[in-house]
Amino acid sequence: MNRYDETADIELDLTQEASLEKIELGNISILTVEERSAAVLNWKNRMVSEHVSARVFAGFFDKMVRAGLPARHLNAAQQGMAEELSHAVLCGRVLQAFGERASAPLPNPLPQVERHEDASPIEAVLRDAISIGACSETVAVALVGTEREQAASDGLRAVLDQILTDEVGHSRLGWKLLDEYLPRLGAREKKRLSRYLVDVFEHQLAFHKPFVDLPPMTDTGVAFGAPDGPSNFEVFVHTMTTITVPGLAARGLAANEAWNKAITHLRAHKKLAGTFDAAA
Amino acid sequence: MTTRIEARKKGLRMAAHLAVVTGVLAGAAAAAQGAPATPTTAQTESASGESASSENGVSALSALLRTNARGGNCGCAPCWGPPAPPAMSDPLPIFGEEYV
Repeated sequence: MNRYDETADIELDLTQEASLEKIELGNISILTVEERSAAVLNWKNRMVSEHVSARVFAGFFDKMVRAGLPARHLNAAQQGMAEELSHAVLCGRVLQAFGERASAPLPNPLPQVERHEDASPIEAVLRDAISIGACSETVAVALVGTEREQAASDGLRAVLDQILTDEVGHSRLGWKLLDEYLPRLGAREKKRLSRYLVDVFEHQLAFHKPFVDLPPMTDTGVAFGAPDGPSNFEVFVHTMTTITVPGLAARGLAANEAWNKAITHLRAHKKLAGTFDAAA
Repeated sequence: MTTRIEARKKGLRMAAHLAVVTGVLAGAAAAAQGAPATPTTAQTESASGESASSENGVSALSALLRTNARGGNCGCAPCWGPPAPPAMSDPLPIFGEEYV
């Protein structure tokens, strides 16, 4: 009997979907070898990340069903799933415009999508709303919004505009759920959500840590999608400290305290929540 | 470089609108436009005691992460697709046992 080989590479191949339309990148011949390879690697990683993050919205959807949320929220989560998949195809089109294949290995294994079974159903939904909507997608809006301003061509800007529009919707979904359901929670659940914020902020810090290790990038490289580590890290920190943390605090969660606690854990060399070894 | 600073401001301004509870986050929108915001605890305390949202605060946090943290993803540039939310590290009972 054949057994599934858990160590085998699994290839995400979007060449067929990506080939359905073409994107004009502009004059890519002005890129140096380093700029081009940084941009191509970033678009490849984005393609994989967007495709895989459909699972995150699937998990969000599942929690909403368990919590008895109405169809309008379920539809928004389902839409988020479809949009992440379509972003992966858009990234694949950018790769093809560079003359690359729209395929790349998937992480194996994929990170587990947490079910939050230690929480009440609505609290589990709000944990996802915080992590996905208030943090990750709000940071994504700031990052994509920054990058679209520097895009090299109308074609690339159109790709970023589409992704940005969708990320705005994903972020809004999280904030909307917080506005609608947080006031209905009891003091105990709110307190537990405030504690959860420490884990979320540590997870965000760890997730965005690779920006710290990346070098700066030229304007030309950035215009084609190569990442500038210091600039992106600055956008991340500003988003968290001037938008997300105050936004959560304004809704009655102990977000300032949680952020400071996450930093304290970092100072104490404590293993940050949600981290895993890249090689694992 | 000015273009890049302007681009960052625009990106942050877009994000700031998302978190707004009527009137409460006017400071965030102002910060995104380069005006001083009303400081929050998160802004006023960071790795070195500097504002985490100031240039020095960003540097301090960056240095702290470089030395004290392991990367939480594949090690490449963090992408836009949201990562799976973390588990709660210190679960608390939903009903029954009291906690502080």
